[in-house]
Amino acid sequence: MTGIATSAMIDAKGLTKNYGGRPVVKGVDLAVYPGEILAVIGPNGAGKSTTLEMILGLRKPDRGQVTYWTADPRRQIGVQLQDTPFFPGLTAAENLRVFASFYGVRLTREQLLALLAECGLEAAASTEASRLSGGQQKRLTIAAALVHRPAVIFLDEPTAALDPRARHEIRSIIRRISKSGTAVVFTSHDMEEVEKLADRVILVSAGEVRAAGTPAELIAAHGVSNLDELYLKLTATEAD
Amino acid sequence: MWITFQALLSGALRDRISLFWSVAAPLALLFGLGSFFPDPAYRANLVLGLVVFGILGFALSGTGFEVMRQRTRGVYKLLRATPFSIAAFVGALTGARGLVTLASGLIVAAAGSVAFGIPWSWTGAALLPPVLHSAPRASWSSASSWEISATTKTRWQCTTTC
Repeated sequence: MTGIATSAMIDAKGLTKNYGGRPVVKGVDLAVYPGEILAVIGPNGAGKSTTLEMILGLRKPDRGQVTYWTADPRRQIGVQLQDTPFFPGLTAAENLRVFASFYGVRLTREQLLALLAECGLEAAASTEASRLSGGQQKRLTIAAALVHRPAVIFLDEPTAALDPRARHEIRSIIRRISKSGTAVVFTSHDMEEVEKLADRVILVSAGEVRAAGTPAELIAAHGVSNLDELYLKLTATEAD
Repeated sequence: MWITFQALLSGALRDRISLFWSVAAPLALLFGLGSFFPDPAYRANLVLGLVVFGILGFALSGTGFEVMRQRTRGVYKLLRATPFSIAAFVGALTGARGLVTLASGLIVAAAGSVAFGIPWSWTGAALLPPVLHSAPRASWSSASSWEISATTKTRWQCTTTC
C-alpha cells in the first residue's frame, strides 16, 4: 500500500451477484484510493466486469454495498467500456462535446483541443470518429471518459486488441491521468502491462478475490518471479 | 440537452445512407416514374407515395437502425453510468432525426409540386408532423424500450459517506 492514502474513495463490501441461481460474484471487497492505479485481473468470466458494473451502478448487487466519497458519484466517475460507444458520424471533437453534455459540462474549443492533445488526438480533432484507427478510437473513448475531469476513471481492457505502439501510448495516457491526481481502475489480461502500470492489483477468480496487494507484495507473498506466474498459479483450478 | 440535440442533428445530416433512402432515392423515382407515366392523377399519387417512402426510409434507416447501432456500441450502457437520462437522449435523438425526416419529406413534396404542377396543400403538409411523430417513435420504441426499463430497474447503489 506504499504511497496510497488510507481513506478509500470507493469502498465495495461483500458484493454478490447471481445469474439464474449461478453465483458469478461471491462477496468481493474492493476499495479505490485517491490517485492510485488499481488493476483488476482474472480469467474471462471470473466476475471482473460484473464487479465493476455493480460499482458503477450498471447492475444491482444481490448482496453487499458500495460506499462512495461523494453524494453524486456519476458526476465524478469516468467510464471507458470495452465497446466503443462514440458517434461515428461526428468528429472526434464533436464526440467529446456530446460526452461533455452528458455530464452537464460545456467545453470551449481550447479545452476540447487540450483534452484531445492529452490523449494524442490533436491531429484527429476534425476527423470523423469512424475513420480513426483502432488505437485512436480507444484513445477517443478514454478522452470521452475524461471530459468532466473525474476523480476516478474506470477503464475496461483499455489496451485489448491493440498493436504494441498503441498499447504503449495508452499506458502513457494512463500514467498521465494518474499523475494528474485521478484514480485509475483498469482491467487487463496483460500481466506485463499490469506489473508496469499498477500500484495495486486485485486478482479475481471464480467470483472471489484470490489476491490483493502491490505487485511486489504479491510476488513475494506467493513465491513467484512475476505476475504472470502468480496469475497461472492462482487461476489453475478455474482453468481445470 | 441542447448540445446533444445539435450534435445528433449534425450526425443525422451526415448520415449518407439514410439521406439516400429519404431524399435521393425518392427524387430519382419521382423524376423517373413521373416522366414515364404522364397521367396527372398517377403523378399526384406518386408524389404522396414517395413522400411516405422517404419518411419511412429515414425513420427505419436513420432512426431505428441508429438506435440499434448505438445499443450495439454500448451507448445506452454508458449513459446509465452518467447523470444524463436515457429518455432525454432518446428524446434528443428522435427530435433531431425527426427534423431531418420532416425536411426530407418536404423536399420530395416540393420537388413533385414544382416538377409536375401538383397544387400544394397546406392542410396536407400540416399532416406531416403527426405522421413523423409516430413513424420514428414506432421504430425506436421497440429497440430502446428495454434500455429505459433497465434504467428504472437499476437503482444507483449509493451509500454516501461525504
